[in-house]
Parts: sequence; structure tokens; C-alpha cells
Amino acid sequence: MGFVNFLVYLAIMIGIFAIMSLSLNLQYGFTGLANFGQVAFFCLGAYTTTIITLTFGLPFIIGLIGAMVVAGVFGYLIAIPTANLKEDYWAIVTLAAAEIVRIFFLNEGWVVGGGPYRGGAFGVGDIPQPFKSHFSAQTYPFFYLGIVLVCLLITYLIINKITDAPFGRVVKSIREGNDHLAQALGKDVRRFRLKVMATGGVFGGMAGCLWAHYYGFISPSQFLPLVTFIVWAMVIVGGKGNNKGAILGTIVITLFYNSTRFLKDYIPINEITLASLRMVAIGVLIVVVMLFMNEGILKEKKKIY
Amino acid sequence: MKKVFLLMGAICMGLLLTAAIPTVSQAASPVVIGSIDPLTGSNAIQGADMQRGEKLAMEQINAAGGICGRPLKIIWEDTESSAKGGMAAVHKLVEINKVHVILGAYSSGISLPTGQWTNSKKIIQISEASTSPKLRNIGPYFFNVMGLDEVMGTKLAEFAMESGAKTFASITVNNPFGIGIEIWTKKTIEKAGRKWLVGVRYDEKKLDYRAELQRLFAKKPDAVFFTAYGTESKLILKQAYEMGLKPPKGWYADYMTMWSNEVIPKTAEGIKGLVMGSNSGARYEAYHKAYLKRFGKDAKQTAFGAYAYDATWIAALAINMAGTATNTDKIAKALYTVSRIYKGVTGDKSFDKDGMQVTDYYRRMIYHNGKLVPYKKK
Repeated sequence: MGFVNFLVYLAIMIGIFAIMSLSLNLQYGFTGLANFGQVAFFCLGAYTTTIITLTFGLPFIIGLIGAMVVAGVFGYLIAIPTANLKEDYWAIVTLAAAEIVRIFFLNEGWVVGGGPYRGGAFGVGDIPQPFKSHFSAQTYPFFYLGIVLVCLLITYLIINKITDAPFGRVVKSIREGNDHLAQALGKDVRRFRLKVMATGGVFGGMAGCLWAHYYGFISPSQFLPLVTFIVWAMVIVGGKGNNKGAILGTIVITLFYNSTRFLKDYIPINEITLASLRMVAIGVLIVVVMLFMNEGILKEKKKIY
Repeated sequence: MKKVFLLMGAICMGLLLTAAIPTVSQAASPVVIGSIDPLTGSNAIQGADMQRGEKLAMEQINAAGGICGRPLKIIWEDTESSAKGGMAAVHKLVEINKVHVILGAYSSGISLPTGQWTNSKKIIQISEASTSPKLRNIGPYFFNVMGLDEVMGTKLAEFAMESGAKTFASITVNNPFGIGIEIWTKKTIEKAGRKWLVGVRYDEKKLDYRAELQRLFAKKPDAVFFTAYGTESKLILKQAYEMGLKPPKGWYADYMTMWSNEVIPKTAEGIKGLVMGSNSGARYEAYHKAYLKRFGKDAKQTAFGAYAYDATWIAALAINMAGTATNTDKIAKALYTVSRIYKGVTGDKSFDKDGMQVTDYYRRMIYHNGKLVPYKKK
């Protein structure tokens, strides 16, 4: 049973990060927007649902909707002044925006309410887990996995629908044609970028909400730029521009990351050496993929119209 | 290339699946407990010291006959100095390795989420170096062998007030540890009727702290409380020295060993403050000697190894007293009894009703000629 519980834990992690990967894949894989601040959506989603459900005591579903709306609006707003920037400038701006969000929550502890040891650098604990009273400690992770999988399925279906629709063809033309191709077809590139960022934000916020309610504790230190780069690794390894690839990349990185913990249980190796080697191995995995499979494990299916 | 990935995937799944295979029980099967230390990431130096402290205690316990005649075995997992890594570590230890007692974590940001989860599973967790007062509310299966910020902050403020200073300010790192010190020094100062001027919080890894220093000294405090990790302390003290900023009644620092080996000596001359743990007695001497012999290193490089050593001993003695390695209600009860009897390397380890330390042992020191020396009141 313990082993099954551990797999459930891994599946929840995969589910949450797969939503993040699908969100980034829409922005980067399909539209070519190098968002280095993906963690901002995650952070906003986590804090928004915490404020709604913990500070105001409203139900989880309101927290989830609130997280998606706030992160989506943030994505839209951040894209307004930056929509005409080129890829490298876009990356810098989004990275900075994510740090601004994190530093805001680090310094403005009052937003979550409560006493001197709540909010800010102390983080926020006791975030309620939805419908927990209806389940035992053993069965609850299975229920939560169900919530995560439903959210992942919705995300996958919506993003797949978007990218298969004419909207998807336009954003791909933005990616391929350095704006000119889409503009030649009479498309407003700026407007499409705004929509993509808002949509990416909505699903990033959803992932942040699921994270907060699963862990029950959030703090600004959980939303460092490293999270963004792990999601990037998932998309790159899985295959950018391919939604199944983004999910596969998330599974590969998460399994690789966690399974290597078990090596020391079977091989006589020093724990510190193994811990350091695990970090090196993930870096090597990304380099190997970039060298030999630069389109990822699952290549983008390029349709001929 | 896809075949390579399929093979790698198979290896990953294989490693996970082998974890599900039950091991054959042996006559003197070990008592297995877990440990979550930051073996990589920003706190890796402290994590390595903590692991050495735990390893030393484990070897001594086994040399003394083990627990109820069974050897003690610790499974170490890396928290990667992050909450996500810490959660992965406790999930593995509890669900795969089936441990009922976990040592660690190092920082409050990891002890809080892992503690909430282990407590919900009725697993004992003994935090070794976390100091946030929020730890107090986690639950009956969570313990801590280090005094919380309220203890350190209060004692540091009492020390500073003896200088006769009337006005106080603080410059602390903007994290739970730094803010906790600010809150408790301020509370103690104001309770004593002295004046608190300003609490300046700074972010780590900055290249310039002059703006923070100007804010700190704008109201001319008599004494200043100071918390910093090595890199930041070097820059803050250097810039304060260059700007000619020095409080008339002096600087007062907590956890001085965090920075005493890294600062430029002339910039830190005369700083007074507190250092954790005892520096005398048979337990202290024996620990340092054994540590040096076993690892070829000085145990004083961080103080955290000693706390981890004490946590391991307390856990082992409690399991031994409870006569069970799986009934965590009995182990929790035994932990309270053991904590009152056990005399640790880091001093008295008595738990209060919430499983937190009643007190901790702090030594008054002063930085003089490039090193920390015991403070003697003039």
C-alpha cells in the first residue's frame, strides 16, 4: 500500500507539473514566446487560492476559479507593454516580472492576513485540502489525484482544441514567420500574443492552486526561477509544440528525478555523492536530448494544409 | 535514440518497482529511521555536518549494543534545500522505507510542510535546526531540538540591554530566521521600556547594502541587532566600516559562527553576540574528539552537527524506552521522558508541552582580533 501511495504522490506531482508544461508549451512550443517567468502564474495561483480559501474561508472551487482568473489577468497585463518585444527581450521581461511577483509576496505579508508569523517570508500554512473530511488519510491522496487528473484532462483538451483550431495555426505562423507571416495574412500579432499569455496564465494559475492545496503550505521560497527552468526542461525533453510531448517530458523528468533517489538503497554509494550526481544527471539528460533529439522525444506533428 | 529513452524509462520504473518488493526479515533486523538533510543546494554545508552528527551518533549507539539489541539504521534523503525536495524525501521514507521516526529538517520552510504531512500520518519528526515559532502548532508527533527564535531573540536583547543602550534597531535577513529575531528582540526591548527605532530587512545575494545601512543609521540607534549568513555579513560589515557607521553601544549578533570565519577582521572587531550550544563538559569534549577522529574535520565548522547528534540519540533512547519502533504514540510519550533525562552535547534538551525546547544554551562571545572569544563583562 505504501508503494502505491508513493506512486500516487508521484502521479499528483506529474499531474500538476504537466498542467504547467502544457501552459508553457502553448506559449513557447506553439507561439514562440520564451516565457522565463512561468513560475509567476504558479505563484499567483497558489497565493490567490490561499487568500480565498484560508483568509476568507470560501470553497475550493472559488479558490480554483480565482487562481485561474488572477493568473490569467496577470498574463494579459504583462503582455500589454511587452507584446511587440522580440524573443530574448521577452524572456528577460517575463523573468523580471516573475521575480517582482515573488518579491511582492515576500515583503507584503499582510495580503494573506493573520499574525506576525503568517505571510511574507514565513509563508502560509494550514491551507485547507478540499473535501478532506469526507476521506481517511489513506484514501484522500487518491481523491486528490482524481481532482488533479480531471484538471489535467480539461487543460489538455482545451489547449489541444486551441492549437488545432485556426487560432493555433495563426500562433504557429507567429512563431515561424517572425511576425511578418501572420501580419501578411492580416492577423493582429499583438492581440494573439495577449490571448496566448492570458490562456497560459489561466492554466499556470490552476497548477499553482492545486499545488497549494496539496502541500498545505506555501512560501515565496517555493517560487524561485528554478521552477520555471524545470518546466522548460520538461517541455524541451518531451517535445515542444506537441502537447503529448509536454506531458511525456513531465513524466520523464519527474520519474528520473525521483527514481534516482532509490539508487543508494541498492548501490553502496555515499548519500552526498548520489545527491550531487542526481543534479548532474538531470543536466546531462537535457544536454543529451538537445544534442541528439533537438525537437524532443515526441516531435511536433507539422500538418500540411 | 528513442530506444535509449525507453531503456532509461525501464530502469527508472525498475528502480521504483524494486522498492515495492518486501525484504526478507532477519533475526536482528535493524531499527530503521529516516533523516532529511539538505545534502545539496544552498544549505549543503550545514546538511553535510548534520549528516555527520547523525552518523556518529548511529555508530556510537550500535557500538553500545543498539536499540533493544537491534542495530540502528538511518536512511538519509536529500531535501535539496527546498520544500518540494523535502516532501519527496518524506514521502519516500514513510511510504517506501516504512520508517516511523524522521530526523530533520534543517530550515523552517521545509520543516513546516514536511512536519504537517508527517504529523497527519502519525509519524514522529524531530526537527534539528529550524527555529520558526510556527513549528509549535504542527502537532503531537512533531518535536524540535533547537530553541526557537523567541528564545534566541529574547536572550540577545537581554544581552544588548546590559550595555545601557536606550535606543535599538536591527538589520536582519528577510527570511523566517531573520524576521523571527527582529520580532523577538523588538518585543523584549519594548517590554523593558526601551525604544525601538527601526527594523531593516535585506535580501540575500545583493551586491550593495549601503541603502539598507543608511536607513538603519538614519535615526542613530545606540545598539544594533544583526543577523547574516557569511557572504552577506562580509559585505554589510565592510560597507558599514567604509561608511564610518558604528552604533555607540555596539553591534549584537545571533549565531555568530555563521559569519565569524568569513568577515574581514577589522570590520567586525568588537561585535558582541551569542553562539549556540555548550563549549564545555565531558559530553562536549567527547563529541568533538570523536567527530575529529571519525571524519578528520573540526565539529565547530557549523553547530548543526551537534544538534543532529543529540536528535539521533534522543530518538534512539525514546524508541528503546518505548520498546517499539512502530508505535509512535508510545515513542512520542517516551520522547518527553528521555528529553528530561538526556544531557546533550548542545545542553539541556527538555521538550515543553508542544515538543519544543524549553530553553537552549547560548554563550556570550565577542569578536576580537579575527576570532570569537568568550565575552567578559567589564
